[in-house]
Amino acid sequence: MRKPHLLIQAATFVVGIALWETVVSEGYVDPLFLPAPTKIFFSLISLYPATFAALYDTLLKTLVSFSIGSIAGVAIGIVVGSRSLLHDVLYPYIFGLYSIPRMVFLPLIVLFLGIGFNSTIFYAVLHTFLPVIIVVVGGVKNIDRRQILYAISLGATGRQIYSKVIIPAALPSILAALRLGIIFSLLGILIAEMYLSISGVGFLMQKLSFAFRSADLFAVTIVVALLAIVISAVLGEVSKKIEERR
Amino acid sequence: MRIRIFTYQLLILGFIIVLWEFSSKVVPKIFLAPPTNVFPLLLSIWFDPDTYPHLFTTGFEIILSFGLATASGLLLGFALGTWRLLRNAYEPILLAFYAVPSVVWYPLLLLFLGLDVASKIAFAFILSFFPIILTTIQGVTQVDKVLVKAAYSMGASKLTVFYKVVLPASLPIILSGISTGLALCVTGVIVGEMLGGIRGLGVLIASAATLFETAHYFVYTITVILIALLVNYVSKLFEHLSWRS
Repeated sequence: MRKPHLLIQAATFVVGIALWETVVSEGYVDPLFLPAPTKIFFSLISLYPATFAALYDTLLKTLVSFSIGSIAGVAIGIVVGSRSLLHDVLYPYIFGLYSIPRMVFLPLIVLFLGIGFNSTIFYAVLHTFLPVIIVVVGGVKNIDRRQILYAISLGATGRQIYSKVIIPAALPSILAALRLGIIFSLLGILIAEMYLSISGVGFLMQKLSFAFRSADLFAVTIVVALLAIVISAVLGEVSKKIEERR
Repeated sequence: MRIRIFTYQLLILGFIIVLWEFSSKVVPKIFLAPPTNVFPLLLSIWFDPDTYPHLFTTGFEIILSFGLATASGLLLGFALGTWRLLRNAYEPILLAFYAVPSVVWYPLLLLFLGLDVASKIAFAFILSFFPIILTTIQGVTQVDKVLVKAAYSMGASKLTVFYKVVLPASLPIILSGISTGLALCVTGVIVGEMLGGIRGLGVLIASAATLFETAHYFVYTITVILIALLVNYVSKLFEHLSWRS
């Protein structure tokens, strides 16, 4: 056997599902809360009809908040990372904001912007741009100071230092930040949808949970989880390709 | 230089508070409560015995879920870190799960475990378990193989190698994972409580906001922020100590 770990993965999966099916069919748990895998499978095939519209809605909002949040985050991260006074003054605030549960601000955002698209996007942007800033600042801070000094001594202008030295050197961490950013964006949108309960797949999941439609809820959860895994894997491959090119 | 930075930071904080005070005079009362209202209320709420059950619940949820996540994350992390076949099999699965936005699991947990503390503990556990186990695996695998071989060749037993070589060499990385886990644990408990619960600071925040009791909302929010910053500060302190030793 060339790849025994694949065998273990498959075995874990099969044994887990089989165990789950037996536990439910033997009546050890209430199927109202934990549906059998076979039932979840049927729910996956005939997915709850509102799922696609909700997914589309959520992904659209994720894309909007990711674009705003990541552009702002990368820009702020590069500036804060490259100016040491700015960094020393602002970084504790940024890190402080990052380390508190940002959801506590969601009610305030709702008070100002109302329930709907605007407050959802605003919250997700807040959710996205803080981790992006932190990662980009880390990358810019890690650049070898000598590279910048060489560029200055060769007569590079301020703008050239950014475009020819800092940004290329920090590219791996910028790519990592963007990868992190899209997951944080999706997370922010889902949290806002669950809290505001007006639209999107987060709202749908909350609704299915309160309606005790456990098989449908499982199916939607699996779809969203797989989607996130695929997005993050694709972005991982893309950034690997970009880094190989250089 | 330090004093200059500190002065700027204080100026920013002062500016935010002044801006907050003035803007709360302009906008309607339900949008913003001025700091001059919030701070007196803060003290009276902090010393009100009715707040303690909520504080206790939130604290209990944080401590229990963090304890469970740390214990299981370390144990399984060391197992996967030392056992290569298991690591090849399970690490990709763990990484895939880690990429999923955590709140996806919360409706399911709410359904299984109900509105009370159990669902929050489980949710915070999921959030903090992954960084802890993944950094433990990373910490154990990055230990210099030469050190391990040298210890074995000098006749050290498996247990001695673990305690004297692997553990000290991987400790800084593992502690950084634990500190990330602790921060996520606090987040998980608050998010869980805000999305639906019976007792706790998150429940207080959500209900104050729903009732448009803006001053109360600010008080509870500031309390959560202070707790989170304190927890973060303490865990960073531990991390620095481990790097130094």
